[in-house]
Amino acid sequence: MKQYDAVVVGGGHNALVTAALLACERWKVLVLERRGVLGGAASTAEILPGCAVNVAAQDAGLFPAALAADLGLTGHGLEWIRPPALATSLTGGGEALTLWRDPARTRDEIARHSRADAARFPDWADHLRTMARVLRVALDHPAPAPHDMTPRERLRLLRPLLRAGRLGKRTLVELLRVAPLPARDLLDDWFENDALKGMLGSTALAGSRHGPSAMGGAFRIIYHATGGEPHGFRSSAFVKGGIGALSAALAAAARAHGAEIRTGAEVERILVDDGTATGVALTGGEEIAARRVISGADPRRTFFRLVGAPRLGPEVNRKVGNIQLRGTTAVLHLLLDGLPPLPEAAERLAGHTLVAPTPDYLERAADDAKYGRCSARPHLDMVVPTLHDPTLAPDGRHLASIQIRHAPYDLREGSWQDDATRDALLAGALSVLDDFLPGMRDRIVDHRLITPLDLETEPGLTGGDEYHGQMGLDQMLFMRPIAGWARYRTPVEGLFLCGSGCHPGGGVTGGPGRLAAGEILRERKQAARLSGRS
Amino acid sequence: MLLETPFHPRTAALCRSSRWRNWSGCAAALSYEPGHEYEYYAVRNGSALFDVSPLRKYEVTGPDAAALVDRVVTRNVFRCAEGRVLYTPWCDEAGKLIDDGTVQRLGADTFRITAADPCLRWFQDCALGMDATVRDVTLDLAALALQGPTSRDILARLVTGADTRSLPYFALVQGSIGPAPVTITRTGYTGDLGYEIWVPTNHGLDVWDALIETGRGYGLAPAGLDALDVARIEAGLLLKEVDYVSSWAALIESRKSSPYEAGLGWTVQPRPGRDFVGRRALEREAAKPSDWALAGLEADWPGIEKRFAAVGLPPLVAGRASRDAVPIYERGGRAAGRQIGYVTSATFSPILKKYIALATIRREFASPGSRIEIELTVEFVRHKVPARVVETPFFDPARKRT
Amino acid sequence: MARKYDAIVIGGGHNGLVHAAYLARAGLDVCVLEARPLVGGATVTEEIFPGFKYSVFSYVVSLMRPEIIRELDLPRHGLAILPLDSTLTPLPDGGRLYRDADHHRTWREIARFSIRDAEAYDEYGRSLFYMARAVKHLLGIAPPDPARLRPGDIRGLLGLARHFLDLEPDQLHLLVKLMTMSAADFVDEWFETDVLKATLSASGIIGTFLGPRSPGTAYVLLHHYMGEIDGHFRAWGFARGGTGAVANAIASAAREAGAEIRTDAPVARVLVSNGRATGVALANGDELHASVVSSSLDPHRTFLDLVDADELPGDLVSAVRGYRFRGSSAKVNLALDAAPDFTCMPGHGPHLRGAVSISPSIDYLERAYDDARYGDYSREPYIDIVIPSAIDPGMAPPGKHVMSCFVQYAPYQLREGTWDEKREAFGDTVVDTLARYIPNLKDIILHRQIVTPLDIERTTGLTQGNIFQGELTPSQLFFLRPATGYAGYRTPVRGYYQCGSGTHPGGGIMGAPGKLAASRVLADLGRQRGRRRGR
Repeated sequence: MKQYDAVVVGGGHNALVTAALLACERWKVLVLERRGVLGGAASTAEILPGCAVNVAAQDAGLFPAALAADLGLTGHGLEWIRPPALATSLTGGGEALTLWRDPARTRDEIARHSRADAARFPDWADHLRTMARVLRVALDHPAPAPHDMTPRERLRLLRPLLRAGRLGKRTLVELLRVAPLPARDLLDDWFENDALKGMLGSTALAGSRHGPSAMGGAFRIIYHATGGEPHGFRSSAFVKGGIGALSAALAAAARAHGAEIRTGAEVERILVDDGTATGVALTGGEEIAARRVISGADPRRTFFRLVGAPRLGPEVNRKVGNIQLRGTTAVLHLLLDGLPPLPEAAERLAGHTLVAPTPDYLERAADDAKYGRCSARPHLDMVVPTLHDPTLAPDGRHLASIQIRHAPYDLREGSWQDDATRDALLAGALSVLDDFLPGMRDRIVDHRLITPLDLETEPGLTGGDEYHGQMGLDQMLFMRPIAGWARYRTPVEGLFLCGSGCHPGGGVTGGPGRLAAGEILRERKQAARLSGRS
Repeated sequence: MLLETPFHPRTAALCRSSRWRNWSGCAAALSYEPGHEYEYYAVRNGSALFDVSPLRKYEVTGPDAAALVDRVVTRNVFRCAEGRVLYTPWCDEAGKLIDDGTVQRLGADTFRITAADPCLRWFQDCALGMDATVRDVTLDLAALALQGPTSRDILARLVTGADTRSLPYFALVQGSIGPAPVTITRTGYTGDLGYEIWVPTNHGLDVWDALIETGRGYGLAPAGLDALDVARIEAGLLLKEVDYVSSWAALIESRKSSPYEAGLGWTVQPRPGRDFVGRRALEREAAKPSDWALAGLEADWPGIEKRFAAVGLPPLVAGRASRDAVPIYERGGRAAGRQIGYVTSATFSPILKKYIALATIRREFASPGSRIEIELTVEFVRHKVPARVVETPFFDPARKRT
Repeated sequence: MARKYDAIVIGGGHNGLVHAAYLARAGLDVCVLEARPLVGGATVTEEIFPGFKYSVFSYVVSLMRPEIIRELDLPRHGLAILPLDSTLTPLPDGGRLYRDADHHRTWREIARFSIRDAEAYDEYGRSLFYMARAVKHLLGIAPPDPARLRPGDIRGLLGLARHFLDLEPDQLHLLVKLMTMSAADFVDEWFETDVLKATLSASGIIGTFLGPRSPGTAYVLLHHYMGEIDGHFRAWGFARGGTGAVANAIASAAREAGAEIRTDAPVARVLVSNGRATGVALANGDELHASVVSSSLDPHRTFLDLVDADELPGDLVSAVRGYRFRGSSAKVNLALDAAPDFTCMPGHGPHLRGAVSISPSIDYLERAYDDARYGDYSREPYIDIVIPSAIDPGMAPPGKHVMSCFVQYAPYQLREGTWDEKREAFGDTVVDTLARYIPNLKDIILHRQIVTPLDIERTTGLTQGNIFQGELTPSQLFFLRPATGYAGYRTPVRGYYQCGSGTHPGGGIMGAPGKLAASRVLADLGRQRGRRRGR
């Protein structure tokens, strides 16, 4: 039997990052992806005829430039797209408010709605950038594991603290104060205009089921600004050829360093012998031995399905069972025969197009989810990738991928398997579009709805949670994926996690994959040192 | 507000002492007569009938039932054949005792577990990912313990459909007593020949009446918890929350005990490939033993007499068993007087005519023959009297297992 | 000629009184100035309807720090706390969940819904015991300032780090969860029974403008668990004679130590000269002088009303402006001709001596919150009821009762109409809600007093009627309460201190802010004296 240094379960973008980084260190790495395409939730596939559709994730703005450079992704075909428009909020009656990458243009645009807000926006953009920079420090380093650290490691912890401290002690304390705030409170402190507040507040809905009045929303706003320059909104960037091209570049980088990547290879279970992972078994019976098994799947899937609950203690199982996996997003892909009739559509629709007209609108959308229903009037986040990459759809056609929030995975009534449920969601989304983007419906040629259940069956996201665990303050840092398990190790010796369920969290960030690789290498070095000594 | 057990209509009428204790929320007689001596002697000379219905009972069924029980408890359940019973503790992941009880293997895929306190949630959580169902059958089953040298004869006259006479120690059989279907296990908490009878609640009184009726010629007496307490100490059997503290009830780490520390090291039965809850922690402890152990103590009777005599009293230690913790000191040597442990249960043994105790003690003093001192309070003044470590059970009649 | 004191305490609420008592015991010449004719602030008992004593605002005692009770010898001054040891949650269908001090009975009661939950309930109680033990340390220390990092702050922060690292890992993690989770999610980790989860999470929403599913409410739940009576955490009690008896006992202790307490003496402003507090001006124009002035009022009044904004740094002013109050609770006090008869537990019974919680499900509480979020009071509110006369016969004439109903949500800011217009309709809503569980209620009401957030503000001066002098959210706790850099009881005006619930450790009849602020004042005075002597 062939023995690898590491087998990576799943071919999502974090798994590919880990594989690439380990391969760089001359590890013999094998990546096993169940599906035919790589990328997991960050994949592009032909789910509409003739189209390359970003199935779930659309925006890779959180992916750090430094990591892309380290892995030489540009050399492997990665090309970033940053359209001038960042986001356009549809405020009803064909009206729109656009935030641009150009601050002056943004200011003018906001001034049409509120002069006071226009005046404050540059300060807000500064504030958000500063908060994001401090948070970034925490996200760049492995989470502190207060109890498992040697004194030397605790000292190492001072490094990020000092780095953050250089940004100002006050700033650090300010982040502590601001992060737990409800999105609504944070924005009320800054702005008066509802359209602007709705637009900025909508970011807080991503990655959680909470509404804008729930605490912790400010954290999510800041989190989504930790990639490239947020311009007061969020770090946003698209990938030429679809987000799957990022995953393809990662795969190419990994292969270039000698990693093997197999698609269509489903890991049925992780082999555990006396508490130590020894390899994986594929459906079909093939067994592959490895010194390390690294799972890019979410923690619950990893432990309950791949390892098996009986291999863990009941106390651990309770914790795994308590991870809040709360899929709330459905994605509607539309094939259009033209752009919707919005003035300057080609320019304004090039970024995120949002239906989030007021904080109350978001509030009501989230209310429905609290009671296990789809939002009667959902918040929509639309991306039209064909505006910057026409090759994604047949000539003259446009693709629109719309994230619909909230569409809770665990419905109290009905099921995502029922046509009626799916039809109702579709009808609800289209009727909102009718109101906010009149004429859009007439452009629809074909559509494909991806429900939270589809997200669970296809990329394999437990509970349809694209973040592998709700992005709340209680599931962050050393609380992610499970309190005390930060540092990517698990109760099973030799089994590591590298997916979004780990610190620093979800989104197309590559962060968990990068930090996991670092910890795995460090652990290996320690082990080598110890065995060298004995 | 205390609940009544299924036998309450009978026990209440008999309980002339009006002495009741709260046992798991149920009213349980401490003794039926004002004193418990007669009831105690029934255990050793005739037969005593105890109402043990407040015990928690769980039924485990399903294809993975054996695997589940084997995962929960420390003993090797694969060695428990159908029709056999195991005494075993179970531990948390840190290898600390949660509870102890018996596991009855009613069938290939059917078990019944008894516990002192509620454990359903734990058992069910251990079953996650396994094809096994755990049900709380506490209220469905009434339970009686028939303990004493004549218990075999009494049962033999009553039970139909099963041979109880040849029932081996820690075995079970299903039969009937009159119209009542019963499970008889040859188990007990007295260290004597004895049986426990598990019967559907609605048939409980039938069984009680039949036993009392037939037992009349065999010296049978209903008995309460006071007598049971003396008997179980003589038998060296532990009482949860007295001789060890459950890891769920212990507010601080140092109060918890591992099986090794509670004298139950023999119940830790690894098997290649076997993974039970707490295994890793217990393996570590086996490799590096804890500082603490359980020991049986026998106090120096002349020493006790002397202390009482000094104030003009006879040795007033007989009577009920004591559950008060009492310090144990090192005797002689450089560290004489240093506290090295504490007595958890103590009683004067009417049959051995000795003052005996169960104690938690530093391991280096725990081997039989080790000489120590225990505290004794006489007329409000504390003294130390010599004692030595002895093997348990203190009292171990051959009839228990033959 | 204006009288000169060593210290003037603005506000005669329980924290102001505790503060004054400690200063007086240290030998200071102290004067407490209370605007109302009686002391207590929100801790008062008043006979609004003849023969019936209402604890008008605050109604139960638990958080009062035991060391304050001991040090001020409050029992000798008349404080008697009677246990309140059961909680009844009636259900709309006539069912109920009843929990009391009888462990086995409570076990069986919960087991009627779920045996698993009955078992988990013990574990839950133990976990919260650990948590209360872990944070108890915080209740007794002044928060360090991580933004300034003077030697004392660094010592304080290191001490905290050590304290928390000394916890068992599981306990530390649980604490972090409590600080960040929603009450509903927190209890979800243990339980499956809706009514049990709802009643437990209800203590997480008290005094907040958050729903049970909003993160941050788990902390408030813990805040209500930190109470300690005779060494037991989470023991709730009722003060004999009503909550006012607590204030009266503290006032009596303060007077005995030499403090002067003036009622009907509203303060108009704090006198400041050269950045130093020199005394106060009363509303009637009188001036009183002192080198120490402590305000037990909320941060809004302490900084924006009593002092000129020019005297304060801009960051403090803007922080206090952004400090959130958002009163969300109201009280309805009822005088009853007879005992309330609950459908789920008819007749007189021990349940009347405990709390009754109208919190049948998490959704019920969440819906109550939804109403408030859109600017209206809850159509079906959460109500926490106690019947003081069932515990203390002196509260009502024989055979009659007073019933204290804490109601949430009643947002201070209504989107439509005013509280003056809506007061009676709101009262009707509360009574209608209650009558669903207490069929005889409407027939036995002799009098009702409706205390809206606006009334709380008008009567006690609590800004926006917030009972905690500001929300107990992570952004407004510990070194952030009331504002970054101003949490150590001092203010930028020398000699001017804050000692109310708007400072660490926050609201509830706890007394800790008053005491910790007194330590700060006395330490500062000692330092000055030392310096003077040094010269």
